[in-house]
Amino acid sequence: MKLSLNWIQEFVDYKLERGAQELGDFISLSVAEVEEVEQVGVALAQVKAIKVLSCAPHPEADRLQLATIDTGSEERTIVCGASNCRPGITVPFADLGAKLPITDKEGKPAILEIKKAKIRGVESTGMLCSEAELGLADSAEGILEMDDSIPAGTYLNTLEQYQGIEDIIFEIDNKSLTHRPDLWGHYGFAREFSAMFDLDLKAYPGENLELKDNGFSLKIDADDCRRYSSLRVKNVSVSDSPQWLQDRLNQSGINTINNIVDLTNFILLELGQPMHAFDIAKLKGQDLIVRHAQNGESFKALDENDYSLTEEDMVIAIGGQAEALAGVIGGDSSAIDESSNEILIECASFKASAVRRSATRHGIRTDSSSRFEKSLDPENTPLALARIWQLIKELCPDAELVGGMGDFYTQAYPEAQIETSYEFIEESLGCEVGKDFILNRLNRLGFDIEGDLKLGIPSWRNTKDIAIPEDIVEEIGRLYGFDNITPEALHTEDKVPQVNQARILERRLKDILSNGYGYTEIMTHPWCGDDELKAFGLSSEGLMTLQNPVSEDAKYMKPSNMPKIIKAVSENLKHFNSVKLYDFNRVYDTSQMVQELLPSERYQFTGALVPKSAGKKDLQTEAFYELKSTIANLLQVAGISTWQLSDYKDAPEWVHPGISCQFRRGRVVLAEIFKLHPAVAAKNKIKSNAYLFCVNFDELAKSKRKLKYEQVSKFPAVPFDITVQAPKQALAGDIQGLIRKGGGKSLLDVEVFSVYEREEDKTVSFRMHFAAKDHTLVHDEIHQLQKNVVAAILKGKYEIPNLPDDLK
Amino acid sequence: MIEDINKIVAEFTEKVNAEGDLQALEQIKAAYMGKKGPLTGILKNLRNLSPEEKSEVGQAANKAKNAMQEVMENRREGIIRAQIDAKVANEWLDFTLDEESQEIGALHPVSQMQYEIEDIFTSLGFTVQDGPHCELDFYNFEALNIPEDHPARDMQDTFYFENGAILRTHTSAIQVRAMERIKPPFKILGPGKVFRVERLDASHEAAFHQLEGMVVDEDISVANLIHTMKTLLSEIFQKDIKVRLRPGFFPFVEPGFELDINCQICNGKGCSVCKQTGWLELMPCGMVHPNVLRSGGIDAEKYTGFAFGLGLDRLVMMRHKIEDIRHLHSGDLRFSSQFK
Ligand SMILES: [Zn+2]
Repeated sequence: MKLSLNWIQEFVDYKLERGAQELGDFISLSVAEVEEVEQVGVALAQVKAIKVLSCAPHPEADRLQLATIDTGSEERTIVCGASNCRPGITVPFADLGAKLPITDKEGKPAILEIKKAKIRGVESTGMLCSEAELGLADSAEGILEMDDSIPAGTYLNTLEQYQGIEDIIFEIDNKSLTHRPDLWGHYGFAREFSAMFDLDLKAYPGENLELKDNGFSLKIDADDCRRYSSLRVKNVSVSDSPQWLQDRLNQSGINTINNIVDLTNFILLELGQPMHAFDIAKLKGQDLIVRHAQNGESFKALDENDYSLTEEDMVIAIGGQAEALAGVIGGDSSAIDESSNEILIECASFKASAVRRSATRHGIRTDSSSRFEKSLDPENTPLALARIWQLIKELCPDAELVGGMGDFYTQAYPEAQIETSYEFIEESLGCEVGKDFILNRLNRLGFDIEGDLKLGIPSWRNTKDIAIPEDIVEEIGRLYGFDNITPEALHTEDKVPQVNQARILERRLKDILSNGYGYTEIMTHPWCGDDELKAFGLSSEGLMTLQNPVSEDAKYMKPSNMPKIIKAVSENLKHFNSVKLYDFNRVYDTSQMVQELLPSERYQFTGALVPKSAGKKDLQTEAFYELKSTIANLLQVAGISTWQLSDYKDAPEWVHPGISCQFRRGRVVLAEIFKLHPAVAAKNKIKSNAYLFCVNFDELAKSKRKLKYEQVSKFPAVPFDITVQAPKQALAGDIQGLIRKGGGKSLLDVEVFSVYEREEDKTVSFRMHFAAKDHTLVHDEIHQLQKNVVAAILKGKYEIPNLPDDLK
Repeated sequence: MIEDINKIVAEFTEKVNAEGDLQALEQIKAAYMGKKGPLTGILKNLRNLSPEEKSEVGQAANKAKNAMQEVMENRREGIIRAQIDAKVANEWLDFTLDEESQEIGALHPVSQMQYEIEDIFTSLGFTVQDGPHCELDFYNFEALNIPEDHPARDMQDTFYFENGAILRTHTSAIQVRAMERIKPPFKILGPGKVFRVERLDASHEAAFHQLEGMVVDEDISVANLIHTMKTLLSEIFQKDIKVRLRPGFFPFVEPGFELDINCQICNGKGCSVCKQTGWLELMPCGMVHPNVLRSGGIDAEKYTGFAFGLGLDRLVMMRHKIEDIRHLHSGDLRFSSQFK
């Protein structure tokens, strides 16, 4: 919203004693955010009228002239390019050093500083100005010719004709006014000035109107109308508005239409109260009903669009026809035009939510609806009507009231009082502000003060804005200046902070993945769409579905992060020949709902490893096993020391069935790793071997990391090797399990040290160590352990070639 | 006899030192020091000598044996060393190649920023809290004193699910969940992703990151809030930061503020980033509205508090001068891998 300082000064005797920007900052700190400060007419104070004495052609350029001028104190010759420059005329002149705010070629504000310049070889000191250069017009032909009676040397801002043009316009951020219905007009800001600078606020102009029948019958048949006031005026002459009125509207960015419509908009800008005028001759009757629309009722608005209304909309129906969409926009059929003679002025108070819903439903945002949405003070309607009547009389001297003010006030806000205390205010701020200051400012803001400290809330702050003692703290704090409060350290006694173990684990695992194993973290969006689901063989059934997605491919909350990872791999392979990345993110599991409506959000690490394709070794198996050990290490860091490896059960289509496994604890899947299925790889244009992983972080976070120290054994470990013959697809892990069983407590460790693939089967060689905790194993014990291990393996139906007789 | 011994030693030494082959060296050793060697021969003749002579020759023979042993060892080491030196002389590699490079990865810059700030807060006694992305209206709006017809609830701003749940629009939703879990006094921190209906462009994202903080205790004042914010920002920016508080309206705080810091790009002189004002809007904050405390089951007569929110993406973009917010969720390693 644009705010004119001149306009504010009509209601409060504020003298500008600081820079415009500084005042803007002060408003930002005390009331609402000033986004921009524009100084209008600043050129006028820097430019004086001069007389052109003579003109001579420029020796080097046909289009330029050398003008000798009388500045009032001296004669000077300057270069001028205007074709209307000629001896005898009085024109504005900007001397060296003047800084004129202009609009540059791109339409952006800029400063034109007048400097000494050589123009085609001739020195020029100063510039003759056009209206555009003075900021008086958007564009201009030639220099401005002024009245010859103006003496040379007169500064333009002292001239009668330019009085009132110098102004400061503050552009206020509308968002910072959401809670302040009273600040949507200049008068409300004038009240803030009165409180900010301790100045008297003038009463809002206009004489009280008499309540009297005006011939229109009124019925309110909708709960969302608090008050409906009206004024009937005849003998108005509709024409263009006078300049001052046009200027006021233009300044605020509102188009001028005609004097009556402009006056309603003027009040909107001054008091913040929307109004509407109907041409009585065009109305179909004199019975006015505020009611809900019928479903499908059609309405042609002033914007010349046809709207189909619903029963949730509220209309002003006159003679049975909807003439206005309440609080939003007036109707086309009863619009004021040059022929209008008798008018009905509506000044009502509608409920915020109803207006907001109507405006949103039909996509019409007007200056009226945006004000009603803030919950306007219904006490304003008689003020607004009194003021407009005062101005109509000024503009149309023949105008007459028919009857008096019609007023239907069904829902006043109950008067409200806040009980608080000086101590509460000062303690809440943490600062001694002083009783006098508090009293003075609350008084200026219009509070009704009683005792120590009961506050009657003024009607314009009583619609939703102020209700509790904390609101008073804010009023005093902002006017005192939050910057003037001395910061004070928290006195809160520190309890031993509870540590969020899951977040610590998250960071630890990220640290290991990134700084240890060289994976880079990426972030992906939580959404997916039908295309993505379909491409990866997933169903949209039961997923969390957005009513208002930004786009179709962001409609559901993703049930798996793998599609995002696969896409990231595919994209990154365009730029890199190897990829190591992961995403720490959530997936949204709707199979188990929380608080009925919410999915279980499961934290996962999902990621991918694409090894460099240029290499010498068997990269395929190497990368898989590298990834396997990485994941195993993550589990261990999380405090999980044992798990089972199993086939990937119920594998999605992106999992290679033969090169994949799950880390499980019973039925719980801790993590899974797999090679990307070649078919999915091909579909996603991934030519390299890609290995992917998923770690179910929530399961890891459940586990407590416990480090248990065991004494370093003093007794030697005895090695034992054995080679087992097994079918090709036998799992070495299964045989290891048998060995562990056979070795029992004395088996220290067992590992595979070679696998030899043969035509029909394979041999797997294991190395293990035996040791006892409390003594050195003797020969017989060792022999027995070896026999136990062998027996366990044989029992598992594996063969042991070349088995020595003594172990059979 | 002693002369003979010396002669043998001299002869042995000469032969050993002339030999360059380890195997041949062993043969020389066997020939001189073995059972059939000359030294053994001399010792066999000892019995013909007087006790004094016996002892004298015996000692000399032992000494000679030790000396030969030492010569032998030195030579052996010399040969091995020469072999190694010969090998080393032939060994060379091109250190400019990167055959087995093991690069480290990087945490996402937003994670890095988040963790840094978390560390600052936890050192001030804050605990980290978490909450769901998919939220109930209650936690995101109702409990935060955001009334039903508040514009923030518009479908233009908030993602709504078909079942009526929403995507949280701010980390403030974490506040109430935390209050349900823990009792005052407390200092909590809630970082995380939040979502608003925005079309993606260089400066708009529908998913972004916030960090919410809340302190609740008896007698918390605006002066405490200002102090905490100043401390915090000085830690984040590693220098003294000028801040100012403007009135700002957020239904869940009263009084509410917009906190500005002096523009870090122009140092407050005015530039295009700060729209010539010298100030940058950084974080909304304020004293917790008593209704919010009540929603969290806290006695609002006894306790007061303050809360603040910090937009992480903007901080990250400011720190690294990132020109386009879309990089953050792009998954592009050309972006992410720069933050090692
Ligand atoms: Zn700046």
